[in-house]
Amino acid sequence: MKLTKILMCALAVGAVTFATSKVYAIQGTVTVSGTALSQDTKGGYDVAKKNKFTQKVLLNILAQATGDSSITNKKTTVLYDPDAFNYNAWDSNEGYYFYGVFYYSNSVAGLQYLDGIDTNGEYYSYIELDYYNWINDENEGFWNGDGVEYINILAESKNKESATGNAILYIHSNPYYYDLPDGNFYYANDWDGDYQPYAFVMHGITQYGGSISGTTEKASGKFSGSGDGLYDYDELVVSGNATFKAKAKL
Amino acid sequence: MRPKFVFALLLLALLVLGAAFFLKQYLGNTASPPNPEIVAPAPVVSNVVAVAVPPPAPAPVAAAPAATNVLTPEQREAAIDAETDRLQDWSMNDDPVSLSNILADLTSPEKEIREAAIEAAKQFDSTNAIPTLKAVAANTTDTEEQIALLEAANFLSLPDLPLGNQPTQTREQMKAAAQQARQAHQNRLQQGAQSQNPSSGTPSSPDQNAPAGPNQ
Repeated sequence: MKLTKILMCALAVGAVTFATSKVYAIQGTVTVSGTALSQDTKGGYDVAKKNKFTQKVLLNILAQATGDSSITNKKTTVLYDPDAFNYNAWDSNEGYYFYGVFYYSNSVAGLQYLDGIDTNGEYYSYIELDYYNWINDENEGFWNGDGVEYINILAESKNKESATGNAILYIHSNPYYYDLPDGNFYYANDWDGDYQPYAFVMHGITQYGGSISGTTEKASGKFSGSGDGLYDYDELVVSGNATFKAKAKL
Repeated sequence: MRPKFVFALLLLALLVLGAAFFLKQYLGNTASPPNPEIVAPAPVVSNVVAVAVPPPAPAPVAAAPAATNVLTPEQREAAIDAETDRLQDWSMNDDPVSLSNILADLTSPEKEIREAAIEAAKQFDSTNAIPTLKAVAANTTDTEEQIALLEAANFLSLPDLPLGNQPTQTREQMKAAAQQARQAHQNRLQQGAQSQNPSSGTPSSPDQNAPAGPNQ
């Protein structure tokens, strides 16, 4: 009899959770911008050179890295689905559960994944956004909740909620340099003497939120951080932002 | 008796799940009951820049709803979404009309559109936007927005990171490099672990060229 009661309670709790759950499972566009400091010399002195970068630089890195020139020749959008379970990453790195998938899309290439498994069965990835998504209750990218200190601050209203916490954005041209949550490769620079042509690694804060209004579901994210980078093998100190915006009909 | 009990329990579970599914559908579609109609504060699709706008002059924009249009919250939100989508599109173009449209939206009555316009101006990446960004900042009372506008103007004044054109490494080269680096990293982690073990006896010799390990 006691077991029956427990089962009934579990069922009821499960049913209520299912009925009231809100998951913002939508794909949206990603845009990046920022500044980069590099070493220069002037009049015999070392000086810092400051440049800006926009989405064009991200698209150029992706075009160089993937070898797909349509990324820069055609109007291309970078897309992100934070709630997509990343089966490729999971399949190649058992023991970790990954959410969040990036894509690019244009009129020639169609919708293409920015990660995958190569012909030898090895996982590769060009861009990751690692954070704990409090709203969807998921580890995004290669976030390691056991290895990184993190806090989330929540903000809720009737149809809207958001959480702000820390995150890592990693864009890189060598797709095998993805940052597994075992502590490897959180750096773009000459880690263990090896360079890659292009990389940006920024640590900072991200705000992820969602809202439901009528039959419209929206999700958005803002990342702001700084870190280091490589650009044409030159070392950089970078500071930048990334925004994510998505909407869908329920 | 036992199979009957199990069957009854399963039936009950199905009923509860069915009810939950129905409830979810119902709640999902009625999460936001429509509010009484409100008067939109102003048009959201296009605006006239109210400050002294240096060239390029704003070009005519697609027809906008009249300021007196009565919009429901859903319609208003849809209009904002449509305009922010257009802004994203314009930001990827390279023509004066797109820039004019972006600059016009810097003075939209909708904060969401103004924010998207600032980002679009940055992405459009033209120094022609700087005077307008500064002029709008001077006429804005919202401090955060003022900062964002001036930061965008400052951002646009910087030279671009040149678009690199490195010869693409082959997949095999990239994979081999990554494997080698991972192995070297693992070796160093193991060395570090051994050096922290008092019984290991030999002190470690940290790699002078390597950065410190992740703070975990």
